[in-house]
Amino acid sequence: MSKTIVIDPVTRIEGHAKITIHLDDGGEVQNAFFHVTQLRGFEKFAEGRPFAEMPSLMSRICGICPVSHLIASAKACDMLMAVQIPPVAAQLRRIINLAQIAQSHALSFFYLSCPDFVFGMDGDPKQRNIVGLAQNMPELIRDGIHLRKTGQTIIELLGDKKIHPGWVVAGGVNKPLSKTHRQEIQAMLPDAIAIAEKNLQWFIEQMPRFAEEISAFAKVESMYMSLQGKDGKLETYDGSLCLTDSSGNAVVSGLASEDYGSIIEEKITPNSYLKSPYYKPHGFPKGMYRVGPLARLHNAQSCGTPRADKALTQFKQLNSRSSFYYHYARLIEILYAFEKIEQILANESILDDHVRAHASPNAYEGFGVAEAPRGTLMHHYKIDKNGLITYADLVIATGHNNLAMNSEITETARFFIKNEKFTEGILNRVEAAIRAYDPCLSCSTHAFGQMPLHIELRSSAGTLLDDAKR
Amino acid sequence: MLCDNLPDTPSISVVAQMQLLPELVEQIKENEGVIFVDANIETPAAGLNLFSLDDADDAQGQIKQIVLSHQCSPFDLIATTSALYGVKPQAWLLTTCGVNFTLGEQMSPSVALLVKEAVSRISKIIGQN
Repeated sequence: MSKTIVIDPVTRIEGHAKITIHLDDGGEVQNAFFHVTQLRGFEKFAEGRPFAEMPSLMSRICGICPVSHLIASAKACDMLMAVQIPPVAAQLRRIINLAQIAQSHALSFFYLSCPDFVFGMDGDPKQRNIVGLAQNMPELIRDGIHLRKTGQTIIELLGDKKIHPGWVVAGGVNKPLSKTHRQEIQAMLPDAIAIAEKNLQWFIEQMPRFAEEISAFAKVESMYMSLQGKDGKLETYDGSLCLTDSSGNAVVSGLASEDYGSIIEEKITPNSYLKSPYYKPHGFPKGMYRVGPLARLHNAQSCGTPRADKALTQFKQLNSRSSFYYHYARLIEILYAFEKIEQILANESILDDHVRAHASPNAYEGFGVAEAPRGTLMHHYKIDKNGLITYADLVIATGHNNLAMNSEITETARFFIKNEKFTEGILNRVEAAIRAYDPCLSCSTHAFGQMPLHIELRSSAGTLLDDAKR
Repeated sequence: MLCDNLPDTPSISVVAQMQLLPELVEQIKENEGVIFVDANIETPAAGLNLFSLDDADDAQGQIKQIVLSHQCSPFDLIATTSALYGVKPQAWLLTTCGVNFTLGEQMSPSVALLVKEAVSRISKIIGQN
């Protein structure tokens, strides 16, 4: 008799989701789905608002990556004003975005994923959490807290608040960087870089313990999308869009980011509030691609900072098909972020006080694309002649990964679940497959629809057989 | 509003946060006592509720699912401070039932009425410790 296994809620991710695993009559995994069980709806209630409000409004989408939305939104507003912002403003926005990426990655790695790396996938669930980590490997958590705090402090020094900062506005930023704040940030960076490098090395040493998971998480064949800078450099604020295949061959390169609509379409599926973007020429669902740290480093030829470049060279020797390496990529990006901030701040022009371009609306449509911690983030707005929003469409990083996450859990479940047998450790591995993507479901759920919200273990006939609550 | 009414002394620092973050453990470890003040939709409706968090060491029993991101609780912070730094400040949670959580600058009227009592109770805790 076929069954459905349900994991609800999925633990140690941002937001609320469940997983259903459908077994066939032989007890083998037939299919698995990742259901996002929360609705946010920002695309709808932004309508009618003055466009200049959008960065502040959109940053409220998420408490983990508000800066990412601030930046993508501000870039869309820049286009509505038809302005080119002062170069220093772009660099300042780049700094706050990098700080955001660093602190978000630190949260994902140290708080959400390290319990698995320290205690193992079969570790006691009562211990496999932040307090268990604090009790058994306090230095690891102190390092994670330090990296998070560094990123958060940089955001606060620039934007006056750690969460939902202002400062990034249409046309640039609303005040220049002071000498004092620059010095404060510079003073924090050497420690942060050293800690990032130390933990990157620690993780590399742990990876052989997870050979089975690395293999299990490598079954998904996908393309990889990200922004890319000049000469193929890693880029998080600007650049052009690129899409590569699993071998690194270019599928799309040098596409102006505002033209993403020419290659990406979104599909709403009935079982989730999370939309499924896909690469149009390949159709749905074959047009599956991944975004985020794994994709960015898969696509990048170099980082442009010394330690991160050295780490990237080592990273490139691996088969980045395995989503387990998202964790590895995250640590490299933390290192890159702090090194890059250090580089930018070394230039005296960063203190320039011309940081904002002023204009009324000069276009009815604007696009803003930037790299959020979890991947490429796109904001698209239309306004009327009074500058009021008539349309808003957000394509969120986690949304880009939706198809891949669904494939991932299907393949992971197939790898580990045999003859209807599953343990706590196996279910944790299925969750871990999702956790590798570090989905942020608060950001990504804006489609309207109905959906179930409970745990189910069902037969192929639909009979409820069991619960798999956690 | 509460911050404006509390005594301004060197021995007391007031931290206004939109959400509790794990990084707060670094501040918490430096202090002898911590009072968490919160309006919570799940708190019983009537008046102020004061809880001692002295049992926060028993994290495995008290906290079913620790996800220190959007859902960091006062218990999590005290337990993590204790585990990481070997210090355990005295801790309390002063909470009431919140009514309106939409964007704005004013408290819900029913919560605003409790500010004076909240200040009094916090001052009493500080005076006794």
